[in-house]
Amino acid sequence: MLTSRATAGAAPEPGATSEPAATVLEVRGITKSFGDRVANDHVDLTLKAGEIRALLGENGAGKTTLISVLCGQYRPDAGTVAVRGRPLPPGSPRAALAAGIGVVHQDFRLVPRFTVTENVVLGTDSWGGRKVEQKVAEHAAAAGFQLDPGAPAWSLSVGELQQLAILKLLYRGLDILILDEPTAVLSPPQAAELFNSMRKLADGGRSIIFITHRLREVIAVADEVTILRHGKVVADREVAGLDALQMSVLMIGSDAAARHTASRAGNPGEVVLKLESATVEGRGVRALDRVGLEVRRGEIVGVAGISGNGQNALAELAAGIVRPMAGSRTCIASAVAYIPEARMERGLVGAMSVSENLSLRQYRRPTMSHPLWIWSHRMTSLARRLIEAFSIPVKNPDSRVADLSGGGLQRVLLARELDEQPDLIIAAQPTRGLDVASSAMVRSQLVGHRDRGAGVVVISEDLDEILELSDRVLVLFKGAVVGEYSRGSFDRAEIGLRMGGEGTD
Amino acid sequence: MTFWLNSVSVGIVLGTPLAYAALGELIAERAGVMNLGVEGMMLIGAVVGFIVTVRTQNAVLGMAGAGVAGAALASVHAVMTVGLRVNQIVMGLTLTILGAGLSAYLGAGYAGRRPGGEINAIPIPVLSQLPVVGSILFNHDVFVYAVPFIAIGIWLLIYRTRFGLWLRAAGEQPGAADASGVPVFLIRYLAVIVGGGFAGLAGAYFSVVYTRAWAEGMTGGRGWIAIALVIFGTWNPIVVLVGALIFGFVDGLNFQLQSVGVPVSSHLLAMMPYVFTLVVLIITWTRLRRRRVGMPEGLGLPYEREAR
Ligand SMILES: Nc1ncnc2c1ncn2[C@@H]1O[C@H](COP(=O)(O)OP(=O)(O)O)[C@@H](O)[C@H]1O
Ligand SMILES: [Mg+2]
Repeated sequence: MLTSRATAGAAPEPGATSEPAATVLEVRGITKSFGDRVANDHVDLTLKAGEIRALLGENGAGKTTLISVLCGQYRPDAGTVAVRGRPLPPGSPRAALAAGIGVVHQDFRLVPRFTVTENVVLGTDSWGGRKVEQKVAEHAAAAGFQLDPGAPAWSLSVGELQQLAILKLLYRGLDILILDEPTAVLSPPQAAELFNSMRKLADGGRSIIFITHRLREVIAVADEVTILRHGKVVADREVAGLDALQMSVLMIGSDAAARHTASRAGNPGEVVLKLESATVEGRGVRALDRVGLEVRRGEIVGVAGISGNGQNALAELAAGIVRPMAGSRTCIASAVAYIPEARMERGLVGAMSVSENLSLRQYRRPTMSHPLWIWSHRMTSLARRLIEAFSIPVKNPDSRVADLSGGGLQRVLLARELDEQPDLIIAAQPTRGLDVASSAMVRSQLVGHRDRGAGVVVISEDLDEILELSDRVLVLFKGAVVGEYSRGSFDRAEIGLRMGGEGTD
Repeated sequence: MTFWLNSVSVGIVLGTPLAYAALGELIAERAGVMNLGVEGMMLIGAVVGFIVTVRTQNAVLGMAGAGVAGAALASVHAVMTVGLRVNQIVMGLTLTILGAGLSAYLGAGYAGRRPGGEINAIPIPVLSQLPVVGSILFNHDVFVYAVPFIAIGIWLLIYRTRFGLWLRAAGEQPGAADASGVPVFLIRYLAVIVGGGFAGLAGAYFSVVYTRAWAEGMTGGRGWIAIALVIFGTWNPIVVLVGALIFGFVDGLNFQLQSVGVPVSSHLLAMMPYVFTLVVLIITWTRLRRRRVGMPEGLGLPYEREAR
């Protein structure tokens, strides 16, 4: 099971005259629906030995669904997958692994309580032990990863977890490597490093499918690109000769213009929120370390950083949900809006209706209720007004909120939180996982409320979004603020370095 | 002195069936499946073991039959919770009720009868002649002798074999295990069924080996104690065994105290083991919350491959 497959599909010698590389993976007509939503619609894809193919598409385009079919997790409704000419039985992760297909899932699919070694060998015929640890260490060194084979996975950083997930595939000798949005959790320099490793692996004969929704990354690393839109392949060609604009039009379609709501500068006024040397601890670890933050009316403060560097604690502290264990929080806002990162878990009540969710902030007002009952017609009319104003995609205010898509959920949240014209808005990952139209609406709402005079904090992993919206940018790393920049002096490269903990003085 | 010696000896005997039941539950829970039907499976084991022993006059066959009966009832749990993803808690409670009713029905004609076959104590030559410890430790039946080896064996299985790694993975992160090519469903089925076999044996230990009689509801809630012991033992078979023996000792103390006639209500004395369990659970739970060991992360959650 551990024999290396790398030789089987060796790439042509670098520099050798290019004889056509062998096709290792052939996907034909894959269709997969969930209920009446068609996530993949007759998708074709071909992967050649030694090739890096980008799979580009907007959130919800069906990228993850496609690779879930490839790795046997999903059984497609129609279509076939063949590896080196041999058809792959559908719905069998074991068969996909045996054929050489390995996936680094977006959530890595590791066992936190297992050691690095146990995670690596899980599913092979070994259980671990000293000798195997040695072997895992050798494989890690060969791949250029610094991983302690005896360390439990829960103690690793996100970057290390990703290396572990890749190591797991290399150890098993898999040679069709699929990475699902691997750069989402990396700082730009870390991403560049990952691209180097990918290139080396491809030069060594492995074939790679690299999933992203960032155009610059496709240009940086891929040979070929397949573009998915609404589950359909809309382009399949060489990257050379394509420019970012062409790709974005293909990826997004006619909405392409909506993406750039380049915002003007704000007009900062009095301070509405002030954190001074605020420290927050969670589960025994220091989540925030002496953070200082000032938010004025009429400005957007962007917090850049890779997830897991204290964003949750900062958002909850700024919103007033948790108290600092040391330091202070001063807030003069009379209404605070909070758009949490976990929309479903922390923002909405899934089992309740859209109209009930929309009234959660206002139901106790005399306009909405009497101490003993709620005026349901007033609730409904509030809901109708907000559904209209925020284009929430429901016909009936009584439909369950849990049945909405990501964009729909976020619209409900925004509508509820912003209707009261708050003085302070805390928005955590406000556009993550949203379609273009919803993202654009979120951004224009935030900018609009800033212009009205609200102080806004936007916490996001998407550096481009931060740079586009913010009047001031803070960089969060390991719970501390490691950089602060004002509009006009943003340096993308330097902010990127600081997000990864480098470039600190 | 003899009072304490007797208490320890009785404690070992009473702790043994608890250990079997708890170790069986531990295997299932390590695979991520909570089986609250232990009490029902023990009762079914007790009645089937007793009936087979009466019919065949062979206690070994009786014990084997009890194991099979427990496993059969557990396989219902497996099909419902692993295959059909029914809520594990609801299904477990259902099995306990079903087991109690079914065992009462099957055993209706057997109350007050003698089993006919026996599992006898086997004194270990030489060792059983040792002063003090001889009679306490080395004059028991084969199920008592086997239990430490089984606990250690399960520990080795879990931490030192491929199957154990797969079992733990299925209980911790079934999604990760499945993506790595581990047959998660097969492992969960196996773990639940084997665990049920252990519960069946534990039940029959009461009816065939210890009291040598069948009475309705004779396990008296010990299936629940076994489930608590798994938590108390932080899912570690060695600690679970120790817990079972301590519990057996407290349980035995109750009989011993009653027999020497301490001036305390027998009802209060009979409460001791349960109060003890409560205290131990509170202590363990506060300890569990602080450490990154213990409860399998996927415990109680059905696994569905195509779910998000
Ligand atoms: N397990 C699932 N159940 C129901 N709907 C799903 C499931 N997985 C994906 N979808 C839906 O299919 C569409 C494509 O999703 P996905 O493949 O995750 O997109 P991408 O990875 O490109 O962002 C989305 O509309 C999503 O809501
Ligand atoms: Mg995806």
